[in-house]
Amino acid sequence: MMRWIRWIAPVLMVLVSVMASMQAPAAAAADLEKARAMVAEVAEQGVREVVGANVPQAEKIERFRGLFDRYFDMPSIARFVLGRSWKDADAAQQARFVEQFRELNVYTWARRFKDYNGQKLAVTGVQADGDAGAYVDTMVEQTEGQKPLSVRWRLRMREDGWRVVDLIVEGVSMAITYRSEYSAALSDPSVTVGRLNDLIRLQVDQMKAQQPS
Amino acid sequence: MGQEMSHRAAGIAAAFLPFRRWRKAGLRAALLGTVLLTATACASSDTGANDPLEPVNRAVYGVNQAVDYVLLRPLAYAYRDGLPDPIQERIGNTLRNLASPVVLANDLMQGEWDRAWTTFMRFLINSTWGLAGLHDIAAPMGFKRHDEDFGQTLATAGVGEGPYLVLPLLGPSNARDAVGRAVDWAMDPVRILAAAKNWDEFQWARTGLTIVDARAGLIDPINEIERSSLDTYVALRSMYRQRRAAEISNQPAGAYAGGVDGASFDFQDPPKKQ
Repeated sequence: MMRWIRWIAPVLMVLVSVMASMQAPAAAAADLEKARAMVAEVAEQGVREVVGANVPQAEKIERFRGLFDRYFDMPSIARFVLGRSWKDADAAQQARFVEQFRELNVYTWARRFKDYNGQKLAVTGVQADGDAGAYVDTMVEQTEGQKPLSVRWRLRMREDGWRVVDLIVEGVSMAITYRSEYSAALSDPSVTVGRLNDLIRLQVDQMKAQQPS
Repeated sequence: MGQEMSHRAAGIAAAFLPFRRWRKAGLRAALLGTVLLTATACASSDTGANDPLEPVNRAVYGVNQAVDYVLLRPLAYAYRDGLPDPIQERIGNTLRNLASPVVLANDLMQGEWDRAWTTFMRFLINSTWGLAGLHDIAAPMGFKRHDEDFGQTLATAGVGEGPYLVLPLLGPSNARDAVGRAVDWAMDPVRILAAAKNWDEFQWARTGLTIVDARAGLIDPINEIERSSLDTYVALRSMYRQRRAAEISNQPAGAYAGGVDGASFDFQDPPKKQ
């Protein structure tokens, strides 16, 4: 009898610890499933409400801005790309930068709306990035028989769910590229965040002027 | 450990350099220059823009831009929009097939046996049943194409990237990858054969088509960079470094996150109040 207990006790302990260890990744797995679902949802809504919708360009831009605000954590991205200079700027400049940087992104994408021709986005994988992050890997079809692009979405967990913070296209992170560019511009002592805002404003105005109706 | 690895890489490089006598003194000087640059740069840390030669690089970049504008860009547009897609595809297939011996050599030097086998089978299948490389029939058979070059081989052996360089006509690079390009060129059996046989037209056609084909594939991305960036020089520099890091990692493209921790996107303190 005693022998039997001695034998079963370690087995039970192993079983319990295995079940406990499965509990934690299971919770994470549910979150990862949500991350995958969110990226699929962004792509689906982007096609249905923006690029594939039969509405004027101005309306498409308006809807796209809405998608952007809902699914992307623009304030965090803007703050990341500004790097150390964020703290040098006053509150008004910071707010203006977040706004301008979002508009720059909106209008950069808006110029590509017209190229949409039924291309599909396929989610190919999802993995955890630390405790509060996830990567969702996708392949995006391109026009005219070009090789599909690999796009990795970097997500962070916020209070109300996942938000996109970066897109890594064929290994090139948009956030890191913007950050390099702005930190190079700001390394010139005559360029302040205020001046950078003006420069981005010029870019946005130029892109607005080139917008198809 | 790192030092040991870079010695190994130097050994590999040395084994290949005398492979062929350098006929052009200019090339020899350029190569020596880049080797020296690599040697000095390996010691330095990689922080910031990694661009100590920025003024020179910017000057070269300016010349490259001008050549691109008057010559390469128009040719690339004519190639992309003028030639029927199937013909472009066959040209691309042929060029990549001709380049595969160099890919194979680098696969082997990196000890990537599976990838080497894939490249070997691709070359065998496409050169024969694929009609001298016109058709990529190996890919549907499961032998998918990948790229590899001596710059990446050096990187996997532990050699640092060295300072960022903009090469005349060739564009963004760094000391390590510039050496890699020269070594790839030197050991290319197709080029050696063609040189021995004096197939000058073949050499020119191959070089010209390789450049135009590559530029045609970059029309959209480069236009995009020119429109959305404040300083295309800086944007290209950043993208080149990230792209190379991703290629060296051999992860499925896009698997690299630039070494930036996800928490860099989390900000504890709320933004300043207006």
